[in-house]
Amino acid sequence: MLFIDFHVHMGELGGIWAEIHGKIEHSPEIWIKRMNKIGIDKAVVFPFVSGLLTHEDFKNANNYILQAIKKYPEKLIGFCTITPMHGKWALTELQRCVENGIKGIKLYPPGHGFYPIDGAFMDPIMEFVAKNDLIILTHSDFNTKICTPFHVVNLAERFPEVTIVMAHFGEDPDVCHWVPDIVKKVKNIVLDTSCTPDIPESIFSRPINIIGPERIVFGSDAPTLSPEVNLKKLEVAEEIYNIPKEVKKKILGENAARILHL
Amino acid sequence: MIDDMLVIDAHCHASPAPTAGILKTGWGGLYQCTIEELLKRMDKNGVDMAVILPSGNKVFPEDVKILNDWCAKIAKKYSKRLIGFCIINPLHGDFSIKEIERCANLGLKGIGEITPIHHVPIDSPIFDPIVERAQELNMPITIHSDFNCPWNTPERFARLAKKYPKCKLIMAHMGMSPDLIHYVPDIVKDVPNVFLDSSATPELPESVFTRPVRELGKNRVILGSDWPTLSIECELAKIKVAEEYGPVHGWGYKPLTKEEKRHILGLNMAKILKIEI
Repeated sequence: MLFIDFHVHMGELGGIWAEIHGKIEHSPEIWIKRMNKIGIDKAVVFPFVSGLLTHEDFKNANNYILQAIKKYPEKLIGFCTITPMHGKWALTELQRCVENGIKGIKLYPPGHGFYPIDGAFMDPIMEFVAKNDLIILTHSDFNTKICTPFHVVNLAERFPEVTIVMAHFGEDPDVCHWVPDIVKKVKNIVLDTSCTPDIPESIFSRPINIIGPERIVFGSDAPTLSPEVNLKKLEVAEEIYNIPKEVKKKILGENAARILHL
Repeated sequence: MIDDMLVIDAHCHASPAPTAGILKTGWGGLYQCTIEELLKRMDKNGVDMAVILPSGNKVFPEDVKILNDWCAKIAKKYSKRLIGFCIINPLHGDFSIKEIERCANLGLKGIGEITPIHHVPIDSPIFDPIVERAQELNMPITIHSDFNCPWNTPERFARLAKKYPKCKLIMAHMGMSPDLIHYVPDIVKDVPNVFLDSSATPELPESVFTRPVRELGKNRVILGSDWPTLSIECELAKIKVAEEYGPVHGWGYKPLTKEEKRHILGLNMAKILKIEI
């Protein structure tokens, strides 16, 4: 079964964060070792950027990804990270990354300027994305007022030709159950199961019944979060809440392969 | 048993009427289960004992009594596997105090789960008499915690714990937030009567298990699943990952040791519940 992890951070977490939390480097070699152990064939990888840092910081972080995908093109698919808070520079950086092989953008509104993801300043980025056939992968959180699933729906409705992969189901265990209903009519939104509550029924089984089996992709949010635990969630959903094998194949890799044009 | 270690799931919900009314599908329309199904799933996963936190209507005192009577009954019936907690509604004033005493006499070992549905901040004076009585009766209290629910935050929890240092307070869900869970050990560092229950925590093995154990000591983290909605399988998988992966994956801590795992899996909850092993 083709297994693609749609949500993996890669790079160095440094600067002031390293002073407090310790230095982390999640290198391609470390990740590929874990991939092989678990049986993951490919992964979408994008940087760590721990705050609304400078242009230089974002560029260095993106460079790490560009180098990783050059070294391991058969295993890693690269997304870059930019923020509309960097204005025009964000677009030049995006252009540079596209020329070097990235297939999409990872957006992290809470950490990269606390900006509303459906704000008008997203339009130039979204137009570029549409023109260059890129994918948007965005964080979502019911409790961080600027990128709830409702905000993501607003953005997706404005740009129906862009595939928007929404990670985390809004992150909240009390309300994640209704995310499929929220995104049902907005066909260009795909749900990424990374950093979701450990509720197998709400994350895997129920969404299939509401939005169909083609709009969900497996994500782990490695290295901080665990692909092993997310996989176990899927196994429990299979066993107790019934997921047919055909559907499991789509969630684990076929949907991702289609979205990424692999 | 897992790896020859006693396993106690500190956080399971069950109800006398899993097919009645709103409980037919439970919160979010999710599947509810019977005690027999719980026991089967416990067997499958190596869980020796489970704490039952009764679920159901708590609006009227009569409803509360029904739930507690039922819980006492099944805890007695499956005394080797299940430990019963009683439920109260803090808005019932004096009735709640009497109910706690009545339930202690019925053999129920603690109180919980206190959830946000009452709209009462957990460090408010409304809770004080209840916590005071629980402290006197030596009954631990399991309270839902959520950084994003203003009346049940870990910060309020710490405030409550400081007021009643002899009452064992179990912080279910460790604040629930994937972004803020990392800071929970700092919040509860000075209140050793607060225990961290891993149910409904994010998939962050290092922040759920390793970091709290290293920062607070191995006596303060307990395994919980929030059965049936959430998954004991995922909790156990988190522990497995914490045992396997070390510094490269986050905070720089070495992997979880066997002794730490033993405490998390069952030793800590056994001590809280005064269970002889």
